[in-house]
Parts: sequence; structure tokens; C-alpha cells
Amino acid sequence: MKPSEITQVSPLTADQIEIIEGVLGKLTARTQDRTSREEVEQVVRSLALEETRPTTKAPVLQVTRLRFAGQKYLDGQAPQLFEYNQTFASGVNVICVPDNDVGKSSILKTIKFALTCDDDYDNDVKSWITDIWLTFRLNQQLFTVVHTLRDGHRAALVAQEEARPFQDVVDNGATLFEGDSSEEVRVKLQEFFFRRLGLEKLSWAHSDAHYPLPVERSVSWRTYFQALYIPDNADEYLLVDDKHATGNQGGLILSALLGLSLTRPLNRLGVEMSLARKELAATQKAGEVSVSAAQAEMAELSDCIEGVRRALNELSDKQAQRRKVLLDPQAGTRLPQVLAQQSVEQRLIHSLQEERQAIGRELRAQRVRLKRLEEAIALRLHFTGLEVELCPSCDHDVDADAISRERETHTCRLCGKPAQEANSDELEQFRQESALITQNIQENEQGRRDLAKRLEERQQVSTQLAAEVTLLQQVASQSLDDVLPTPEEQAQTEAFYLQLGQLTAALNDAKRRANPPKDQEEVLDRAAFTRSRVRDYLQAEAEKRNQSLLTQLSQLTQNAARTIGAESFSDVTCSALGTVALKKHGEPVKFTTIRNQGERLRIKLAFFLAMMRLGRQMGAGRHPGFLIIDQPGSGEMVAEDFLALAGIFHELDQSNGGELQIITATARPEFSAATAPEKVYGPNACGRAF
Amino acid sequence: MSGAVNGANSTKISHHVQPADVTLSVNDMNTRAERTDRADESIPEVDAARLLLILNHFAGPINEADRLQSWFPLREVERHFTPEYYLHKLDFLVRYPGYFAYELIELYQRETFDTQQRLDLTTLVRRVLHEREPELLTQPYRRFWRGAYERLDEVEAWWYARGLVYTRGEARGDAPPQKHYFLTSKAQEVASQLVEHVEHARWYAERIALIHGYFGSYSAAQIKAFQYSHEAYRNAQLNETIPDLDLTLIDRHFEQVFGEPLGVSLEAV
Repeated sequence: MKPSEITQVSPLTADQIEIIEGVLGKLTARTQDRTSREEVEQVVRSLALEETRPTTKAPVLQVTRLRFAGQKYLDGQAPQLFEYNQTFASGVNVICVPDNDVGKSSILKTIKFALTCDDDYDNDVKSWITDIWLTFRLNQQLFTVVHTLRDGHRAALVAQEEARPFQDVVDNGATLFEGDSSEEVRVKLQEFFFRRLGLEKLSWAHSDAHYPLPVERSVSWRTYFQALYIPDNADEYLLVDDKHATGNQGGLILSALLGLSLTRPLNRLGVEMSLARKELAATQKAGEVSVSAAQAEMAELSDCIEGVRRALNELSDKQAQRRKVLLDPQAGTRLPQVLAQQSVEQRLIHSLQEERQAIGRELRAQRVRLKRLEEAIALRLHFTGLEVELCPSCDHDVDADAISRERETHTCRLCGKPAQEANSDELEQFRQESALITQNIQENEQGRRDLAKRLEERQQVSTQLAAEVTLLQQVASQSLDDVLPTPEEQAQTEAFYLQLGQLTAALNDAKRRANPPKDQEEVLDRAAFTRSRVRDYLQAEAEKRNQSLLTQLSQLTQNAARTIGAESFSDVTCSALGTVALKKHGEPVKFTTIRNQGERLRIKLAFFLAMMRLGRQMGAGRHPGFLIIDQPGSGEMVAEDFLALAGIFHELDQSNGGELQIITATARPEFSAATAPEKVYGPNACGRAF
Repeated sequence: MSGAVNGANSTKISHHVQPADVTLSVNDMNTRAERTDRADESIPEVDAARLLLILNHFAGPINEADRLQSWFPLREVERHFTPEYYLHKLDFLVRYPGYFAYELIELYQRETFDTQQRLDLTTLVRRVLHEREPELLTQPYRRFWRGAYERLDEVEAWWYARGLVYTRGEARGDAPPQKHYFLTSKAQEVASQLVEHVEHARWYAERIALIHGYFGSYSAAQIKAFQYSHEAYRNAQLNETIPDLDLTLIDRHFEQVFGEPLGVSLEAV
């Protein structure tokens, strides 16, 4: 490498060294391995730590004239051409039309649309307006943004007051920019105001379902404008709505507008940390899925490989068997031996089968005999009481004397001969024979089972011998060529080996995917950790530096809040990251958990006013001193508090003079006290705002 | 399976009592010393009970004209059964379940059965074979001049001595006398008690009832003809036991007649 190519590393500044030492000093035994001095240094070097406090205040943004025209379509009325043309002054301006639904909000929304392209008109009003001219001042420089909504949306910016139709303006060629679509106009307005107001391009890490990894998104001019505009009944959020609440955009805006210290580096670190963490999570998740799939693939491939190996072995065994038989010097004499053996086995099998059949027959006979004996025993016992009463030979009844004689002397009641005591003996014989037969049946059944087993064994041997006979007979009719692998077997073997190779390679690949290197995850984890530690350090530092400013914000907000009826809020703080914390009666509360709508609106109003006043301080924020408030004091504000609010506005109007502009719209005439009479604008001849 | 159930060591029992001769003594009935064929020896109580159940089921009312005959018993009787060979033919169906099953199949071809009756018939045939009745319950029968026949002297004497059934012979010139069996009221009582108290008797009673149900309308001559239609029966040697039917024959015949397989394993137990 040439000397000129060696990158010069500039020495660390004192601030950088202090930060590095501070971060490393806070590491514990458990965490010190998660980062290194080099990594911390690398992060610190990448940050823009210098506090470039502006030497001038942020330009003041003031609307000097709003003009818009179109055709109105109201129910039951003929279309009406209309034109609204109103000048505004610095300080507090009040559009006061004591009725609802007369177009007050639409005027304010038109101002917002003209400056940002943020369109939240009601659909009917949107369809009426065809042309807009908004003249505004940034400090002393006048600009006019001209919009035309005929045939799509086009706009142009000129550096002067302008009243000509859009096409004339464009044809004149003196435009600062032109846009031929809403999106183009929006982008160009953003570039213009970011540049002119010196707003930071602050960003956050955004996770999108459509992308595998998080992306960096920047706060837009439209989102910044939410800090300059309080719509009617906008009590659901403090600074930004839910749509723009991701990535702490509210905090980012507040930091920028107030000019909090170390906003840029903290934002940068936050974004990088978030990106690293989200990428780590995505990588881990993808890794888990990938590992699981790879493991399943490994199991499947292993089974396939096993199958191919088995097939190869079977093929090989088959060939080996052929070779063995042919090459066996005893093969010639083997066949007659095996045939003889087979014959012996078959005779043995036949003998066993006959024996089994014989046992079967004996068993059947025994079962029949057993049943007969059981019948005989049962019937013999049953008929015991059935006496012989007649002589079947002479047909005479047996007399009682003969019966008695038989019982006493055991002589036959019919013929007088000695009677044999056969009945009970015979019954006992039946029982004994029955028991014996039962035992014999069991023995025969066991014998038959044993025979069946022996028969099965002999049949297996016989089957093997038959296979060997077949093989020997085949071999006897073959030559050496017949036992070598056939072309089909060779092709099959080659195919198996090829398959085996492919499967093995796939298995190795799957193994690798099942055990992914942890390098990437470790890198991301260390990057996130290092940045979080540096951020923690800088945040603590920023807390110290911003202490005074944030204390002022808190006091201003509380004072204003108390004045307009929100006495219970004892503390309003803001962190270095722009996170606002509230305390009500000393207890921490979140803005969204404040149940009373009126209270929420009062806190919000007080906060916005404080933000605006504080953001105009030299060397502090970038607030353009511009605020639009739709229906201030709506939401249960009692008359006394409403007048107090008007008083605050009046005081702002009087004290800040050309530094601020607030444009409000209200239906409550008493709010006229908020400003000088010439800056109260009433209805038109039809009693409407426009 | 073929052949009669005949033990390897069967011995023969000789009957010396002539047909219709009921003068056998009680001693003879009780003596067993002469019995040498234990395998198929006749035990009077068993035969008496079984045949009593057959008579009890098949006996009919007494023909009043018979009361005037010389061979009509002097003692009180209630029912009448004749001739002796009919009793043997019915007893054959009880003692040879294989033949019984075959005759049921044949019956389906001769007569008309509705669906339920067909099902009952096939179920009965399948049950007989599934429970191995031909192998386990066949009681060998000897072949005589007119088919299955065994001397019933002992049985008749047994009945007579207990006042159940009186056997009388009707002389018919040169032809052998025709036996008439007269049942007393006591016979019906004893038969009922038998069925109630003895399990073996219940089986006999059920089988006899089935035989009566399916074949009761046929005459003795017709029943004899059915049995003679079997070659094994016809060709049995005189005084030898009649062989049982081959189970595969029953199996084939069932499938042929009913158009469906028997579905019962015929492997020997």
C-alpha cells in the first residue's frame, strides 16, 4: 500500500476520549466482553458531537395572505363561485364566526395544505377548491406558494407576493420550484422548509412487513407541522397522532424544535441501535427457520443414503452368493447332498404334519368324550330323584316293601337279585375320567403347539434348502460369465454410487446450514450493545446540558396550564430524547390516560405555547414561531378559564410582537379579547367563514 | 375334516335286547362292566333324556281309534309318537350338526323364504359352523338296514320303569312290528324340568325346536330320503358309524346356494 493510500486517523478529541472512558468505565464483569475499546471508539468517532448552536434564531414563519377560490355546492342551493382572500398579521389572529360548520376549520386546513400538502379536508370542501395562493414570510423574505387543483394537483413557489393564475406564474419562469403531482409538491415543500428552517433530518428504524430488514425513515415536514397545528378536538395525543407516533417521532420533533443538546448524535445512535437490534432479531428468526428446515432435510437425506447403501449391499451380496457357489470346489457334490437333505426334511415335515393331525383327531375325540361325560354327570345327578316305579317286564307297580328291602338289603326292587352299588361309583368314575380327559386335552394342546413350532422351523429349513437347490441347479447350468456382474447390475451400481455422492453432498450442505456460524449475529449484537451504551452515556450528558431548557419548558407549561384551569398538573418534564412526562397531584401520568378531555386540551395548548416561546430563544430551538389552533378552549373550558386563555394569547400578542404568529378560529366571540380588534376576522356577508 | 369322530381306542358295546323287547333288568341298566367301548358307549340317562325331549316335542294327540287297539297301553297316557325310525332320523339331525347345517341349506332351495327368514337361516348355518358343532358335538351313529339306527331297549326300559314313556309294538304280519311311543303327563313334567335345570338339556331342546321348526312339516319318509341323498351316508358300512360331512362341502354348497361366502374359518380346532 502506498503511503498516500494509508487512511489518516485523526486524534481523538477531549470530548471523544471522555465519552469513550465514560462508556468503558460503566461496563461490568458480565458486560465487558460484549464490546471493546476499539468498537466504542469507532462509534464515538462516527458521531457529530459538536454542538453547532445557531448564531441566529430560526426564521419566523408568518402567513401574510391566504387566498383561495372555487365553486361551492351546498344542499338545496345553486353552485356558488367563491373566493376567500384574507390578510393576516403577526401576533395573534382570530377568525371568529359564531356558528359551526361554516368553514372556519377549512380555512386553517387550507393553510396547512398549502404549506405541507397534508390534505385532511372534508370531501365536499376538497371538491370545491380549485386554486390557492398562500403568501408567507420567512423573516422578511416573502414567498407565495400557488396550488391549482384543476386536472390533478400542481404547485409552484415564487419568491414574492403573487396573485396571478397558476399557469401564468409557471409561464413566467421565475419559480423556485414546480411540482406536477401531489407527491412531487410535497417533497419540494419539505426540502424548502427543512433547508430554510434549518430543521434536522432526524430518523428512526422502521420495521415493515414487506421487507426482511428494518429501514431507516426520516421525520417528514408534514409530521413536524403537527407541532405547529392543533386541530379541533385533537385531545387524543400530545404532539403527534398514532400514525406518526412510531420511532418516537414526537420526541424527535420536540428535540429539534427546542434545540436540545446532542439531539443529532442521540438520534443517530438510536437509529443504528434499533437497526442493529431489529436486524439481529430478523437474522435470528430466519436462522431458526433455516436451521429447523436444514435439520429436517438432514434426517430425510440420511434415510435416503441408508436406503441406497442397503440396495448396494443387497446387490453385492447377490453377486457374492453367485460367485461363492460357482467358485466353491465342493459345488459339484453339494447339489446331491442338499437334495438328500431336502428329502429328509420333507419326510420329517410330513411326519410332523401327520402327528399333528393325529393329535387333532385325538383332541376332538377327547372333547366329545368330555362333553358326554359332563352330560352324563349332570343328567345322572338330575335324575337321582326319579324313582323306578314300574317293572318294564311285567308292568306291575313296584310295592313299598320291595323298595324298603332294596334300601336295607340292596336287593333289586324288581327282580330281588343283589343290586350293585354302581350309581355313585360310576358317577365318581365319570368325574375321574372327566378330570383325566381334561388334563389329557391340555397336554395334547400343548403338544400340538410344540409340533406347530417344530413344523414351522422345519419348513423354514426346507425353504432355505429349496432356494439352495434352485441356485445350485442354476449354477450347474452356468459358466463363469454368468456369475460376473451383468451389464444391468453394473449400470445399477454406478447409478447407486452417483446417487450416493449427490446425497452426501446435499447432506453436508444441510449440516452446514443446520449449524450456521454465529458471526453475523454476534456482530449485530455487539453493534447494538455498543451503541446502546454510548447512547446511555450521551443521554445522561444531554440531560445535564438540557436541564435548564427543560426546566423552563416545564415551568412555562405549568404556568400556562394553571392559568387556563389545569392546576392539578404539578410537573411537566421532557427527557433528552424528547419524551414528555407528566405528573398530576405528584403522581406520574401519561397524557393519553388523562380522562378529562378538557384537561387534555388545556395541557396540550399550554405545552404548544411553551414549546413555541421556548423554541424562539436565541441559540436554542428551531421553532418558526408559528401556530395554528382550531377552536381553542373547546372541550368544557369554563368562561373564566377561556378568558384567561384569551389573556395569555393577548399577552403573547403584545409581548412577542413580530416574533410569533398564531392563527386561530373560534365560534366564541369572547375570544376576540385575545388580540387587537383589527386582527379579529368575522364572517362574510352570508355569515360563513368563506 | 373327514371321518366320524371316533377315538383311537374305541371299544364296541353290544346290545342284546331285541327291538320292542323291554324286559331288560335294572341291573343290566346299571352294570357297566361289559362296556368296552368307552368312546361311544351309550349312557342310558343321556340317551333317555335326549330322546325324551324329541318325543316331547314331536308327539301328537292320541288317535281315539288307537285306544281300541290291543297294543294300546293300559295305563294312562296323553300323547303318541310313531314310528321308531322317525325317532332315529330326528335323533340323527340332533347328533350330526353338520348334516343339520347342510339340510338347512337344502331347505332354502326347496322352499320360499322372505328376506328375514333368509337371514335367519344363513345366520343359523354360520353359527353352527362357527361354534364348531360338527367337530365338538357330533355323536356317532351306527348304520343299520334303514340308515341310522341304534337299539333303544335300555332307553325304553328306563322310560317305562319311571312311568314316562310306554313303548308298544303293533304286529304287522310278517313285517317287523311298528313301535308306538305313548307319553304320560309325567313325561312332559320331567322334560320341562330337564330343560329348566340342566344346561346340556337346554341345548338339546333348542336344537330340537329348530329341527321341528324347519323340518316338522316333513314326513318321516321325507326326512329319511334327505339323509339318504348323501353319498357318505348311503355308503356307510352296515353296523359302522356314519361318517360326518366334509366341512368344505358345506362351505361350497352354502356359497353356491346363497351366492355369498360362508365367512367362517373351517380350520380344525
